[in-house]
Amino acid sequence: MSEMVGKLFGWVNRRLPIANTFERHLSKHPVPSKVNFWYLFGALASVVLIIQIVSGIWLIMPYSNTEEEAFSSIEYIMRDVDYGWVIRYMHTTGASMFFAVVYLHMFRGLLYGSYQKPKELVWIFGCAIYLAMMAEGFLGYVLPYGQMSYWGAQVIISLFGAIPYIGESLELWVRGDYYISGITVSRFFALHVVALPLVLIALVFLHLVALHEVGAGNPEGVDIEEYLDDDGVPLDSVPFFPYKVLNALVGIGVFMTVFAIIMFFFPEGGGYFIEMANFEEANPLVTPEHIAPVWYYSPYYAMLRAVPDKLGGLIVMGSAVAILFVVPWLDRSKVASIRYKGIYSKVALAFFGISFLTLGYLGTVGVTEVRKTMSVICTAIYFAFFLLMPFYTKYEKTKEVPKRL
Amino acid sequence: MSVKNNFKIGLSIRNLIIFATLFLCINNISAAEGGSCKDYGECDEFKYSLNDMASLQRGASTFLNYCYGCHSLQYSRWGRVATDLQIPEELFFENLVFDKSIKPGDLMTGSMSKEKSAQWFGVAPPDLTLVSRVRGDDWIYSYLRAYYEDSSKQYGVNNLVYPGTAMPNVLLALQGNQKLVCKDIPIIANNGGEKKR
Repeated sequence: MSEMVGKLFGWVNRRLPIANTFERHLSKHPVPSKVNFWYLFGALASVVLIIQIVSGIWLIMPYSNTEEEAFSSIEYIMRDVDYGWVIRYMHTTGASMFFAVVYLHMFRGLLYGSYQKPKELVWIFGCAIYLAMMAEGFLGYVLPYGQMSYWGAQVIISLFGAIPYIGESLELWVRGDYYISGITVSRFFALHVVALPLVLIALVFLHLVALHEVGAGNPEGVDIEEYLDDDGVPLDSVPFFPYKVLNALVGIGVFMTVFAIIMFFFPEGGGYFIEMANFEEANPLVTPEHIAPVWYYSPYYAMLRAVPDKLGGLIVMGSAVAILFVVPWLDRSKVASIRYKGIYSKVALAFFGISFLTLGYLGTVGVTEVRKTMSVICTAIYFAFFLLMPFYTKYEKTKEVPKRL
Repeated sequence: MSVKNNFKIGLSIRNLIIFATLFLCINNISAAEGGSCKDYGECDEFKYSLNDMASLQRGASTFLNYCYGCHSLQYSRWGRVATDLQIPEELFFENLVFDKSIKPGDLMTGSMSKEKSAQWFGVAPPDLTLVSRVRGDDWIYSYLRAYYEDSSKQYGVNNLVYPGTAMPNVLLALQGNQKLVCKDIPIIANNGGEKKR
């Protein structure tokens, strides 16, 4: 029997590089022997991606993408579909958790210079994933067709209208109608469940292939490829299995616990994960008192509101995401990790973190004069962090990086 | 893992705490936004227990007798309410379902036509299946208790939580009529004593 299985495996393996790929990318793939908890969020992001895809497939089955039935089909899922409420909350909690782990994953990148040569492409694919996720999240938020779906979409789609010359026709083309309607919902549904998931999966694949080509980083910023053993394996590395896998499983266990607590006990996340106004069906005649995006877009929303001019706001918001793509060329430091960078980099990163969090808060609350001023200041700090990076990273005194991990 | 490395992880967690504290300090500037219950101020807290079945059953009875005449629960099914509240279906249908053609699997679509009610009240009474998730249960609790006499209104009542509400005070018979009066608040004089009026 086992001989037959062996033969069959040999036959397939001769034609498809299973064993080789498995060894190269999973079982024997060398990873740095010393990393910290910041290096967990990439694995968590892929776990959430799987949760989103699986729960999403089951949500498509009972969901109806028409203007008349979109909202009531969500309530149908919540009440009449067996375990529909778990599947739906899994998907809504998953959306917030996806962004939470990706934000932490990106911050890790800034903290330990995970974009530096030769990891530029890994970083760029990552930024593209983030961009695709933002689009995916927005499209998905429109589908329940609640008040916030409607008015949130109204705000975002009207941004296209701010583009000179082609703006209005572009807005109409995106919306598919003169106002947001069932046509918008059904096209957003197609994009949300087919187009963008394909893009996301392709980008995640590229992100991982590029990462495995250049090798994972570590919090010391040590290049482990410098010291190899006789087989060409880095001395300061351990095989992915079992070391990295078992390590990650602990983190995944903790993460799943947090996930389950939110999903079962606080699915609305205090109105930040599912906004209260979205439990009311979309009504084009009634504008909600306070239109706010979900928490993961709120920093950009605060930037948009910080600029009085609509087109200006759109440019600022777009640049805030676009600037992430060029970070590998903004950092001129000789060292990768914040541990060996100078005081300027540390201060800059701290200010950046605080201003981003503050923008996030400001994007969820109403506008006052003080808050508007704060948004402007924080937006300025956000951009200063990136635009001044070539200078403060080049001219600061760095510490010497050890040779070995 | 070396001692040195442990120290560094500790350091980064410490940094995180410092970030978080700074962030919270900055955000304490947030301005007060007034009460969430309009003229009433802060909403009263609604205390309930999901394990107190008798209380939940009384709630269903009150709702079906006082609210369901105008408001629907269109995403909810009759049989499901009976099952969830542990009311035997027969008893439930005998005492709380007034239209005898209704079956347990039917949705609670209301008993008043939307067109007619819009004519009578100026606006059709909204569906209430999700109202506690839109407004919050504290809001509903405060709203229902914040009616007061106001002869300038169509139904002789107004509401502090929802000024100008189109809904009459349906629970009047249970609550009695409330009047809006001013409360005597002592004025403190400069010397710390109570000022005479």
